[in-house]
Amino acid sequence: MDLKEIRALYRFLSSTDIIEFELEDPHGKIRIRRGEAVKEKPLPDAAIPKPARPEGKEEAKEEKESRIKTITSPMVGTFYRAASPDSPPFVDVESEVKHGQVVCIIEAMKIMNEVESEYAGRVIAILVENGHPIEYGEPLFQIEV
Amino acid sequence: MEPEFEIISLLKKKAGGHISGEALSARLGISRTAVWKYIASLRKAGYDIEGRSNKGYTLLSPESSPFNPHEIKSYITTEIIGKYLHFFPSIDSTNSKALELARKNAPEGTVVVADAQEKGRGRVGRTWLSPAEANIYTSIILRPDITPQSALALTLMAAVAVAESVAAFIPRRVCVKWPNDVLIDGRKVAGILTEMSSEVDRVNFVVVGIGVNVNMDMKKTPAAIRGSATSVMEKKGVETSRAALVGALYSNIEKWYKRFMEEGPPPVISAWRKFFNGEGKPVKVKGVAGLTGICLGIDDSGALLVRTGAGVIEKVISGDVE
Repeated sequence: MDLKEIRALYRFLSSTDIIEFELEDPHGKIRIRRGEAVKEKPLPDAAIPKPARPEGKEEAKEEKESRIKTITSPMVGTFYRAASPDSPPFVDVESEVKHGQVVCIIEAMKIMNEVESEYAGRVIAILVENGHPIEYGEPLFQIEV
Repeated sequence: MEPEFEIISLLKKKAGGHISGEALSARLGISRTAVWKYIASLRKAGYDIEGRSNKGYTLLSPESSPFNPHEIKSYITTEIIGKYLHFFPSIDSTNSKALELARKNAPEGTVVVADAQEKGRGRVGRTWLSPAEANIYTSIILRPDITPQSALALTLMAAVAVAESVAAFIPRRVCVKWPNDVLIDGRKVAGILTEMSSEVDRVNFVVVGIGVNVNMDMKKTPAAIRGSATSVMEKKGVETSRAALVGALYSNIEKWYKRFMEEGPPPVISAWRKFFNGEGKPVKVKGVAGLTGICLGIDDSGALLVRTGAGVIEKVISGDVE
């Protein structure tokens, strides 16, 4: 399973109530456990086996980390934070974004691509400067969901 | 079809020949007086119809027929592109309108056409000169089920389709400039603004905006534009039917879009290369990753290849090229 499939799988799982998912096929094994969902929807202890790892501080940190999502670039090109040099930026640090909201434009071969956020949350970091070249898959924004 | 436009299509079929008022009245099942009234309203709308008492009516200079949805539809022969046509005598920008329609789930092949644009847009906030009764301003909605990265070749696809369409109306060499300007004698005759909406791994929609300088009188344009632009009329000396050219545009876009979706970029890339004459010439790329060198054409993904002074070959995918 490549990164793209994992991402698609994760996105699917995020839209469901599934909190733990395991898949095994000849190519390998994948296990996804969604910390956020566990926190929001506590189930009786009997329903989920306790994770076999140390609890406490480390887990809290992991949980915080899992709430920070990264929007990556769908293509190579030039990164623009606004529709034109005179327009205000689509988002700033601290902006609240909705799922499907335009967060930037990436230009390549004169195609202006409006990139939509896959997440709803708060922008905590903008990782690329306006007008700079970017690669496919490069992290652009960090969103706290 | 409304009787007026039935009259026009009958006159067009006669191609300069005459049809008597009596024949029109019999054909349409209306009175001679009604025929006369429709002819009067067509003349008022800009159709040059001559009437002779012994022969009947004839349409003079069909190429200077007014630009309206009926005229445009009479030239549309496509299956998808232009199937849903939104016509505006004047609009802020056909691309803005098409983006708005696309966001409201307008189907693939929906087109917006305007006689004039109040805020014709170029790239990154630039403007596109858009006077009335002169040019073509149209935007086409596509919904390819592909990734944003593979959609990049659509800009070359549009350039090929526009260059072919313009070339069909003027016996001059039509060229492309990387990636998607269309030129005659080094001056811009058509421009393309492609806007896309995507998520990380899939395209929602693409709007291909096309502006063609058709019958624009270049002497009346600002000096800054005159220096770098031209019109079909400036090069040809006579007017061209905008509706006919729109029809050709849609046919060529459809043809190349189908090929791109079936075969991927290779046929588009090789067609684009035939219209390109910049190979071996000095080139300057502006922007953050600016560079100068000798142009070596495009690679199989459509990126511009430039040999810089150091003998290194750079791949350019973004930036303004001179």
